[in-house]
Amino acid sequence: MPWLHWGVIAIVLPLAGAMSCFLWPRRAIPLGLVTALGIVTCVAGLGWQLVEQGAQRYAVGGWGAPLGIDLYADGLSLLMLMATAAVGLGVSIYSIGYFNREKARYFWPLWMFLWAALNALFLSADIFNLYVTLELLGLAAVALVALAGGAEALTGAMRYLLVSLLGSLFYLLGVALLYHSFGSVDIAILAARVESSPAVWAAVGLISAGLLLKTALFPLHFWLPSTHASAPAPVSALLSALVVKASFYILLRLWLEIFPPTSAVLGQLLALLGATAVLWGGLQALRQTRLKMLIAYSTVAQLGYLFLAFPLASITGWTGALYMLLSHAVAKTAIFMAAGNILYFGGHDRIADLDRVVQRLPLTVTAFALAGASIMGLPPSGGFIAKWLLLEAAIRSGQWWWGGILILGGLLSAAWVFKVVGYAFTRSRAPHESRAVPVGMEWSALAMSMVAILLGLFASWPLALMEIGLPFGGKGAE
Amino acid sequence: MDFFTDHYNYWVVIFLMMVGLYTVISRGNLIKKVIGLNIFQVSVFFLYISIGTVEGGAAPIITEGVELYSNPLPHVLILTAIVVGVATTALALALVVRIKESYDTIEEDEIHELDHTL
Repeated sequence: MPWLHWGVIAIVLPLAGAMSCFLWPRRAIPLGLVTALGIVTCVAGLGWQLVEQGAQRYAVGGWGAPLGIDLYADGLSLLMLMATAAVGLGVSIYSIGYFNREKARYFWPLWMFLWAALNALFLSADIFNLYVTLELLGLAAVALVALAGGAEALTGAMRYLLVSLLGSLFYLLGVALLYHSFGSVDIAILAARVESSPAVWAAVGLISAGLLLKTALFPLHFWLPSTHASAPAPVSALLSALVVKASFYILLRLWLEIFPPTSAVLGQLLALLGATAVLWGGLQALRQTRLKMLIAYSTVAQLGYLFLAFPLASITGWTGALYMLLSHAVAKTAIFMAAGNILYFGGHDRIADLDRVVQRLPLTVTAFALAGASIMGLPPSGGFIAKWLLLEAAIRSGQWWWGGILILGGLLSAAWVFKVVGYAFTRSRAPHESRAVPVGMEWSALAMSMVAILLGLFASWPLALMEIGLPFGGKGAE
Repeated sequence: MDFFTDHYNYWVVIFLMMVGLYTVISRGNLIKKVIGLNIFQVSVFFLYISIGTVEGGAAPIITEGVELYSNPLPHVLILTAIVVGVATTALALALVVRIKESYDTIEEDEIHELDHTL
């Protein structure tokens, strides 16, 4: 099975990279960059393999499920891996300029561990392995938040750690109930055996609660804004773009494969919470006076869109949600990078004092506006395609009101993007001292925002990749 | 009465879980919060291990003359989870040490007050 090399290497390589960055801190940046390029190659190789041969399952060490641990890759995992690779490469390049030598030696090992955890999570085929990767992810993410070093970042990291641990424990408890009922932790075996019973419903409740806490769906979003705003800019980008999406991915996977088909009420509830998140997050974002806080609240809103697909339960709906996830990951990375540039440049992120930043950092503000267009859902951007698909699914299933939420949410996003861009043109009362922003930071922000736009222009490729192994087929097609 | 005695492992688990959860939510002291989480964690571990028991089963080590063994898989899973738990606790304690250095307190309400006065 040739694909196994790609999938397994995509997990082992960042682990090895993390260790070598840790052992040779002076060489951390070149080692990290080589590893990042290696991972991108692996993901591309895996993608090519999947296109040629369809979805792949691999028994690690030759021990198949139920005793051993399986890895499984289909279109859904592949697109998550690709989003991680794209964001990861961008953030790697961005971080070279952002972190000084002292911080870089801590950043690279932790970031490589985070990447390994993400890749392992997206390739896992059993629910216990998912727990382990979830914890690895949490450990690396919390340590990265604390990297900013200030008092605010430390309390943010502590709050994040408590929330993250509590979420994974609820998940683990649900896994215990599923294992006790059906005697397996392999997703495929569980999917074949699962039937509706009180224990399964308790497990569904516990797993959903734990994962929603980690995905920060309204009203469990309370920890997200301060944590994401207090982290260093590249870390904020990683957290908003990838880490919260990882727990959403698990929820989506379990929803499609394991959860009993009669979970329609739960689907409506999730969408209701998602719709509230879109409106609440959008309104809160408008009220913020600090740029990073505003962007963090916008993440709360954008996560809400992902949950609108649950009551629609059609292939178009799931595809739309996944496309939303991808385009938000890329666009939000660009926006956090732009905010990081502004913070680096002026030493503050007060929106009212942006002070004609457009003339001094034209590339950064362009990146911000382009990525903002994708967040709003303007054509031709990834966000537009995603919203279009969701809208189509909503109308086709006769639940047009979810479409109304999409439009309202887009208007709220437009309001905050224009507010920030407006202040970027105006002169503030007191002029500020400034320091030059490294070229790599400006260009990587711009490159990420270009990817967000390109996702709209070349939508047919990722959409075709999503169909490998029909992750949304079966139950989702009803 | 049998209902309680037959399922006493679940009652122990539920009790520990509630103690842990209550401690995490109600206490402002960060160390106490971490300990509460640990208690919660251990209760989940107990649940796994106790459901692996097979009535009359021996420890899962192949011995001559023994037919019935307990299920070893939950033990293996929990061994992994314990390792993860140690790592997360270590990280939590390291963060508490740094917070103590920055704020000179580990009480959450005092930290909030200091945050506003800063």
